[in-house]
Amino acid sequence: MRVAISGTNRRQIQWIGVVCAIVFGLVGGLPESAESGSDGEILMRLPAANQQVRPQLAALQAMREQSPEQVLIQAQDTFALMRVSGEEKLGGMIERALTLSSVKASLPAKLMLADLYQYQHRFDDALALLVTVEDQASVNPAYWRLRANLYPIQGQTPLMADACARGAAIERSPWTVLCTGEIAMLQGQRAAIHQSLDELLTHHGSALHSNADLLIWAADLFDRVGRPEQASAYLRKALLVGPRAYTVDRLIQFQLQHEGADAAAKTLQWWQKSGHAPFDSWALSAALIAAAQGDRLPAVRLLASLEEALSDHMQLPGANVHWRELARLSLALEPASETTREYALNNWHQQKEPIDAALLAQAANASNHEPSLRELAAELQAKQLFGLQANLTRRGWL
Amino acid sequence: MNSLIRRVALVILICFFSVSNAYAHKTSVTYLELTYKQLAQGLWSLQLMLPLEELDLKFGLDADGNSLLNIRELDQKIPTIVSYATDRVSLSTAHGSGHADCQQSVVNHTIDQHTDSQESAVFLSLRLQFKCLKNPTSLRIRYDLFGEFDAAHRAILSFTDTRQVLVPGEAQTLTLVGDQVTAGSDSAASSASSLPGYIGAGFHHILIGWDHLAFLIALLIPLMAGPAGFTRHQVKSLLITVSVFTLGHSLSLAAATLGWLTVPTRLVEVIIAASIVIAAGVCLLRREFRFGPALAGGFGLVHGFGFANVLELGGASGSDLWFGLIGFNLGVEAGQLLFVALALPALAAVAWFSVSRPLVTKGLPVALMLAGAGWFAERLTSINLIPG
Repeated sequence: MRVAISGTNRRQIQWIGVVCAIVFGLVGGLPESAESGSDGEILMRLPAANQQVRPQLAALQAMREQSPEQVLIQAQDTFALMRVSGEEKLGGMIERALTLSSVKASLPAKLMLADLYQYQHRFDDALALLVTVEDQASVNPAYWRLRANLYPIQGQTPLMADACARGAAIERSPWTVLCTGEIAMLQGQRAAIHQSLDELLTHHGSALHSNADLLIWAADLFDRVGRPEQASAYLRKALLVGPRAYTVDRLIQFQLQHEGADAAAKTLQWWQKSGHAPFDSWALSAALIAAAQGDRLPAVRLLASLEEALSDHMQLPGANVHWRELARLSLALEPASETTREYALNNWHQQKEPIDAALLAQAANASNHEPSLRELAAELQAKQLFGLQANLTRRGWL
Repeated sequence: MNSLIRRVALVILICFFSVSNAYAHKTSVTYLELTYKQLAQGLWSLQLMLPLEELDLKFGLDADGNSLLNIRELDQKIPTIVSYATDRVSLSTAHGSGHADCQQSVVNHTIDQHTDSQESAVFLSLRLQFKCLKNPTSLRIRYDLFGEFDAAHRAILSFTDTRQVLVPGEAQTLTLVGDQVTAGSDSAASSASSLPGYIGAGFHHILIGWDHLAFLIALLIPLMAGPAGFTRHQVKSLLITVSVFTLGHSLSLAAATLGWLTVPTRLVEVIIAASIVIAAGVCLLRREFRFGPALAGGFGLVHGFGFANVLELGGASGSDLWFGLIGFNLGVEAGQLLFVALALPALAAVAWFSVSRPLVTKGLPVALMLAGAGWFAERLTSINLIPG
């Protein structure tokens, strides 16, 4: 079959061809990608944290020429900034500073490094370091504070009690009172808990109300002793005293449990509106809040990405915190699933804080897995964590 | 096609990593993908995915300080970044007792972007090519980026089906069996972080260093040339020779480790191979030859540089550096003494009988010369001649 093309049609086709050539030429001349684009093309918006980290980095790099005392002061300042901002990158820089040959043998550097490791959930590294300074640090309250913080994570309550008592023998402080209260709480001695809380409020009120860490701890004790109103007030107070990523994360956790997702969402929004940077577990909090409000998608996506990265990122220092996050997310999505119980169990094997016991108890209870519940109860009994056991039982999880 | 599949796989891998990275683990991480064209060709490709936000911290990419990084700002720093990365990432292949460095070249650099709902991650992707010895039994990768200011920085290396976490300043050895790979930190680098560890590393190194052992045997052969049994003079001569050899390699090991002297690895390895040929040749041609202190000391110096190629102290300084150096040296000496204590009676037993003595005085030097010549050719040409 032949198609006849008239002269008019031919001219139209020629014009169309010319127009197409011009359009393609123009389009072809436009920048296509970051690689071939104009020099001014924006590649990315750098994280706001970089602005914060860069001066610290410059200061830390200049420390090689500074005296050990100056290095320690700079490291301390950076650590304080890290606690406030929650910027994990600063941790690696502090560690590099504290392991400079000029300071790394000193006791304050080692204690600060152990504190950093604890903050980064590198519990084994922290304990290994503390063991090396046992002889020289036995009269240092900071040493006993660190040891007392680390023992319960390993489920060694009697050793925690010993560390707490030895710290108190050197110096009676709000910390030692809270430590005594914590032990009483774990062992289920209700009278001793209330005595500690009373002593705290009576004798150490001003110190307590100016220290966010102590306020959070006190709130935690009030929560577990069954006084959520006081717990809530102390957490809010902590947020005012130290508006830090960790504090807001703890408040959101508490609100999700006691005050509902809407209250937690308001806290998250307030934090964002007040110009603070997203904190480490920002996405986790947001996903948990959304899941509690009925939108499961963020939690599903986050869980999937965490699971995918599990095999690689779990090898990175301090990555054991991800087990807890996996357990929390999975519990929010599929409380009765086998996977949730496995995550909670793995987390419990690595970290033995009350929250980890609670996650395992919740997961095992949701899936009606009697052996896990019995095993957990037996472990809590064996470690004399009667208070923790009673707390979980009261909540109907054990 | 394979290259395309690998690229797609890498992008997927990075997507997963970046999603999780964007979420919780803010630890600074670089991604590396190691591939080979064919093991027999000795050509390796290493793709480094360097996060721009880390590069900004290190090099201050954001010149105008507006927190927006553009191509011009990055381009200005590319030569510095490439130089930094190529200086601090290296590959070497197992070669006798030591490692032969691979020849490195930069193939290209591109920008790879990944965006998810949480955050955007952009990487400078730098592709390096390495020309190594063919059919290596193991490959050592040394990675030392960002660790100088961030102790928590890690790299995730993906190679075939395995993924390994690399710690800056520490070498990682990948043992190759066909196309399969197993990985572990290099014994002389990461595990030897204490004095006993360094002693163990030195001891282990000398006992698996066939070229050093071959040279030691060559030092012993002249003792077997005479009638059965050793004279007091011979024993004294042997002690002096081994002591001077030890002194020589201790000096050069210290000089190289402390950074006072830098000698190209390849050159050192070639000269070590030549020293075996020369020492064995002298034994064969001049039966009554005795290694004088100058010759033993001179060869010792060269062998010390060979040891220094293996001893890596991960940026250690001060007392750590000296611990490493002294410990490694002690380990090497202990290994040498053990070897001499075992080899000397064995050689003497064979040389005791006039019938079998030529095996030691002639056969052994010939074998050593052949082995030395093989190593020499292998190290000079990068062609694998001697298995293992």
